[in-house]
Amino acid sequence: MTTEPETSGADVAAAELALGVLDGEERAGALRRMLAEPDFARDVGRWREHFAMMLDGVAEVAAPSGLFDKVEARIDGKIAPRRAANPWKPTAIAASLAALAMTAVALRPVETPVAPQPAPVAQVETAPMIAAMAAADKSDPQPAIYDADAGMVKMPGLMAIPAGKSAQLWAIEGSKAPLPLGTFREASPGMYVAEAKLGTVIAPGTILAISIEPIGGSPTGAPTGPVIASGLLSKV
Amino acid sequence: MTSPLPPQPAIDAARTALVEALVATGAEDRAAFAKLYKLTSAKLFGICLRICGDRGAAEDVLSDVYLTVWRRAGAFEPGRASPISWLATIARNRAIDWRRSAARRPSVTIDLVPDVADDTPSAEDRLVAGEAAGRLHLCLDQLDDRQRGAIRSAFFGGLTYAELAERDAVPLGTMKSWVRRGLQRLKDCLRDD
Repeated sequence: MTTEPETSGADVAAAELALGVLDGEERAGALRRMLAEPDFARDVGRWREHFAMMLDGVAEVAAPSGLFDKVEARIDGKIAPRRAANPWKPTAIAASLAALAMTAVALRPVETPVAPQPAPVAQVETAPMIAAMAAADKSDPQPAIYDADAGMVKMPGLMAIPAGKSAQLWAIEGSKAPLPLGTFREASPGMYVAEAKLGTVIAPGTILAISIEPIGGSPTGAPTGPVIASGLLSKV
Repeated sequence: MTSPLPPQPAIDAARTALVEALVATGAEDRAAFAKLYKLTSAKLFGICLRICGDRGAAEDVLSDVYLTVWRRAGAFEPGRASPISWLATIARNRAIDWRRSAARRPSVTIDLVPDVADDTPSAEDRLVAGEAAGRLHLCLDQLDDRQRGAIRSAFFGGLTYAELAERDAVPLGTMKSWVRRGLQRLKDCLRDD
């Protein structure tokens, strides 16, 4: 490193980011550093590990009997997904994500050009962004909200996910290969949430797409199943 | 230390058993998943209960946690992460998701996470996580009560500086300086060999 901190070790931003105490501009600044400074990113990872050790001190409590059966029932899809008034039908169209990627540039509105990035530093958005997710079966578009602070995409509404499958979220930036994000889970009734991998940065103008994949997500890192919805992410 | 730590081979064996169960779960092995649940559910339920502060919610969150584990176990990298930390972090994150969404629902009141600092792990608790955890607790013990309390509340409650300051009714700058000083001391302590 060419720069020395003014006072030795005065920098606790990595710890603050890992602890989750930052918000707003401070958090954005720390996230930018995480992208720009590999040492800083490594420190953040180390701090996360340190803090996770606090969980080691939590007393064990026997889990309620029967809970494992419930988990297994959910895995087997025995607990039916909530009835949908207008469920998306994943089998409708097996749209190709590659085609989506190619049209991404054409779809991008003029007012949200993605500037050429001089360094992987810029483009950290902390304000929420939304996408109108057009379903492949032509049912009404549903909103997807990207909460950059929480690193997750939320979709209120209903999603018909076939038993034994996962709905996986993808981000397609320009002509790049689709970036696999998390699989959706129903965080609360009628609210589906997919988490982006730690450190993932999603910029406005990115296409979000959802495909049906084996449980846990695509085993190949590229989409393998039908695309059930897609939409362009814009600032609110 | 009243009770000595278990011998290293016991720690290694427990960790190996966990890693094996987790890796096999990643290959959709139900028996391994059941074993993993047996080995870890009390630990993870304790975490959910501690963070949610509500038994019913903790049960729902625990069920979500194991569903997530089933789906994501394939992403666990044995060489990079401690299995129990990996699992405990999923439990903590899910429980904090619940707290945040509950906080937005006015009808639901959630208990404040107690600032109790005395979750000193027993030797048995350290069985799997090992010495690294002992080190962190040792360093946390060296902080002022205020610093340690704020750091623990941030971690267990998923609270930001602004939320911590509001909760404790102190100016934001005061809260920041408590936590920053605490983190600085923690950093110095963890760095010492």
